[in-house]
Amino acid sequence: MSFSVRFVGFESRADFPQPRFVPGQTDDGTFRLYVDVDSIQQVRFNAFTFTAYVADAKPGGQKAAQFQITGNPTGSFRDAPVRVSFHIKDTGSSATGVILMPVYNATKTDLLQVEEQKEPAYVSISGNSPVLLRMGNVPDALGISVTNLAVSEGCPKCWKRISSTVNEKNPQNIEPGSNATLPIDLLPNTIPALMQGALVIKPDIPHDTLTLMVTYHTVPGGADKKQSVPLKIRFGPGLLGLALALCGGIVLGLTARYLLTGKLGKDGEKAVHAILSAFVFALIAEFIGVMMTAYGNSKLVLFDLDIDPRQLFPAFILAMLVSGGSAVVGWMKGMLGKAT
Amino acid sequence: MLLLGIFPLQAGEEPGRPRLERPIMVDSDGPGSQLFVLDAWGTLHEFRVAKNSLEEFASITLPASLAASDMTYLPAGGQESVLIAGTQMGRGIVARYSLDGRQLQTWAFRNICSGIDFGASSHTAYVATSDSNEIYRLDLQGTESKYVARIPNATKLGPLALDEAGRKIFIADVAVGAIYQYSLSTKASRVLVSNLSAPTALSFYPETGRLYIADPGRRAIFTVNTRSSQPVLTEFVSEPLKSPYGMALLSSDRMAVADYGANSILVFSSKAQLLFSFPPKN
Repeated sequence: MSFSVRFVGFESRADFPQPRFVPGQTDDGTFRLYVDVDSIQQVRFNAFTFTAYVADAKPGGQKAAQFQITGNPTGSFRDAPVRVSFHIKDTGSSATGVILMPVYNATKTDLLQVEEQKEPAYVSISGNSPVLLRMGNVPDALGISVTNLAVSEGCPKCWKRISSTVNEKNPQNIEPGSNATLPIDLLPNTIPALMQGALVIKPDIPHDTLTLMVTYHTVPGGADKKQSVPLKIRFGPGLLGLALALCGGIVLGLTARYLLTGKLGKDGEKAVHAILSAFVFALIAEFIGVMMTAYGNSKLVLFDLDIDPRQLFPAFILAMLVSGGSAVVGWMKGMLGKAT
Repeated sequence: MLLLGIFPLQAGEEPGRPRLERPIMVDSDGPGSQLFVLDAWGTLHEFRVAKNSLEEFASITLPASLAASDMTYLPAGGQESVLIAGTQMGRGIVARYSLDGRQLQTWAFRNICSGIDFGASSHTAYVATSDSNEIYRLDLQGTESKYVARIPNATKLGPLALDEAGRKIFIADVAVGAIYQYSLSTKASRVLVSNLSAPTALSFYPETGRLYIADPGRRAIFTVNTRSSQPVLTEFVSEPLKSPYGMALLSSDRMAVADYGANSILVFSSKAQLLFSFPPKN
């Protein structure tokens, strides 16, 4: 990192309030150097400029020398607060000191740390779904201010609206060494989203991948940067859709059972009892399937297929098999066996 | 993937109002009837220059891997294009793009390309490098470049402007805030002016011999008479500029300034009066 210094002139100034002015002092206590962080400006060709003042360290001084300084980074490093040594030469004297001040490097990109998604985010097609994007900042760096979020979709027709409260007037700040969550509100377009996910039943395959373009800058005074973050999405039918799929599956399973065996339940079992049993056990099977796949490391495998019970089609099949009982399962195995 | 503008509008923003975000460099075609503005995100906006307005008629997106440092308009072989100097994959590059976004030619460099200008009369383009402080001449028919000179004592060369009639090249040193003048005839260089902060764009006006310098560090456009025996840096315009990153001369003695901080293109008269801006003010 190198700096070039241009003397601007003397200014009547004695007050250098923090945090706008970052102070440093020469080792012999003669002079103070103040960096005006509000004046920091990124320029082209990977350089930055700022205004600094040199004032007498003794109280009562009313005059300060104003300098304009251009910083020129070399190599690649993150924007960070670093200790910079400085020399002040006066008539017949010279003093050195150290100041802790921010330095910048435009060549270093992707300052945000974004956790890799282990599994797609679940978004209900029946309404708004909030998704939280977790982002971090490394320790000993400058703070980061996220000022905008833009999105491009793999399936544009699958979405009615994607919005975020983060913008220039309401930025999301991430302190050094900490994490923050960026809220994104997703509203899918019901039918296209449902169709998009209808045949993708494996739970780890996304139905759509959003590319989030996060605009941010380091604080204070960093240049605007953009970082692309992929967000994998799986559409879900919502509670009502799932309930309808379950009911449909139960009705079809019971009907199939009746057609195969001539009765709805076991020998001597009343029809009402058999129907109620089918509803209760299908509901339990669906509940356990959802809990295990959503919150555990388990998989739900039907006929050698790893399926997601939160989706319409798998929920329908699961309910049909449970309500249909061994008669339907056996019949299906036979059918599949013949098919293969 | 299709990009949709699906976020809610911010307060104060009007639907359908033209926007420009972070313009960093600008150049015009020879007569100054078209203006080309490159923003920080690699989009080249193409404007038609009207009497009192700029009308955007097209835009192209450059490859994300190309980090542009400087650009110049190049009409060659009946094809309008722009030459963009910068880096790609850590290596210096000059790339020529047609106005509909096709890459037409590239020239590879070992060093970081920081400045470029084209002379219509001599049909030559010169390139400056910031890490070796050298000047090269491009072979516009092929893919070769020829070493011209090295500026001794320079720290970090930036933008470049060509005076074809005077056979001179002006190059800014971004690190020390100076402008060098290199003579193609005598092959000698000297400091033309100094005391700048971070000169990031140069435009030479051949009719008057004046060189215009954008200095976002001092938040102003400066000018110097290059034909003077004792060239003096004078301020051309400072208000209302925030971060004048680039500039270009337009027809009718006007100047367009890319103000990065104001997200605007400001057009000034030869007397430094603000004529209009893009996006237009209410």
